[in-house]
Amino acid sequence: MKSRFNLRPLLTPSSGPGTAFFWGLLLMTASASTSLGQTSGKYMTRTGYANFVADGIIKDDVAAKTNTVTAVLDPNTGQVQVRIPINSFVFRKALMQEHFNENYLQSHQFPFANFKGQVADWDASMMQKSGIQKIKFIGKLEIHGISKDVVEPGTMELSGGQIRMATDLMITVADYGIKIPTLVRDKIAKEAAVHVEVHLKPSGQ
Amino acid sequence: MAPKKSYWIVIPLLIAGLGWYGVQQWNKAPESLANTPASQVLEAQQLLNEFQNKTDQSNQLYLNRVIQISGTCLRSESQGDSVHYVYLGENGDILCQLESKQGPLPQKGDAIQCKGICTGYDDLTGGVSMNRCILTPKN
Repeated sequence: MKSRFNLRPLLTPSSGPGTAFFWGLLLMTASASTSLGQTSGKYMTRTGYANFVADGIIKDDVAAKTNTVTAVLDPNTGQVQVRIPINSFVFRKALMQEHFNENYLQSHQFPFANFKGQVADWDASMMQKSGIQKIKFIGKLEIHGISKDVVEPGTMELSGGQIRMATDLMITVADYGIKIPTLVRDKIAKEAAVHVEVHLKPSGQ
Repeated sequence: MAPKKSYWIVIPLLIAGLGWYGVQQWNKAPESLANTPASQVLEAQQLLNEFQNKTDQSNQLYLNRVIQISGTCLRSESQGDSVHYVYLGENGDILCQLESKQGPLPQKGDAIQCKGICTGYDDLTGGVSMNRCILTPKN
């Protein structure tokens, strides 16, 4: 079957100013899409929210929050990546923040907590549904340089061209090689309750 | 006998004083960076270029440190009343979360100087983020 449009004259690298313009345009388009890199066509944010609470038997306000969580979602495949700068967690107590960064999480050595995975059973129709959808995140969670396979429940909601994703999970601190000194073991819980919430926009917005 | 008796007053007072000091230190809130000197002062775009080209070396120099950058504001935004961001760099790749709102947020094209803690380079987005930032007058 013959195409309605004859592309051959455009695709043949012959001489002439029109053809040179076409090839130039093609090259420019190719380099622009390369420089957009891995986030092109995806939904992303750099201003997501995360908090955790890890109060032990003795309540001492062991809790912190951050508003600089990065997350990227590929709407074609459901692949998700989340990155939390450890040093961005803000505590109410300065010394607690210092110990968290220097002694427990060693943020100079392991600056980010990472999740790389997938929304389970992802299909394109999920990008059309209204209301809160229950989802599952499956992937690898890396904290303090130690990576673990995780399956965590979450929610997803489309609203005003954005995608809101959230999850609540419990993290056993010992699983990630985080050592709590005996002196403060009653103040810090063995499991931290973590909440992550991101509002993803099409990249470039 | 009189000096010995005074020990019984001075020692408990010292212990109580030390205890009070310890509790005060433990409960102290994180201080503003307003009076903390920056360990490095550089252009915003230079910071980004260094992280992109020499990530390990840049981590040594800037990560978790108070640094001061200057550049042109690409945009600013707020989340509610207490969370404010300023984006610097040619493509807004440097994200500064402000410690608090210090007057009106800078607008696109404003030349600004920002001091904060560098929380690192994120190769997922190719950007650098800083937090607890304060905007300082441009010299």
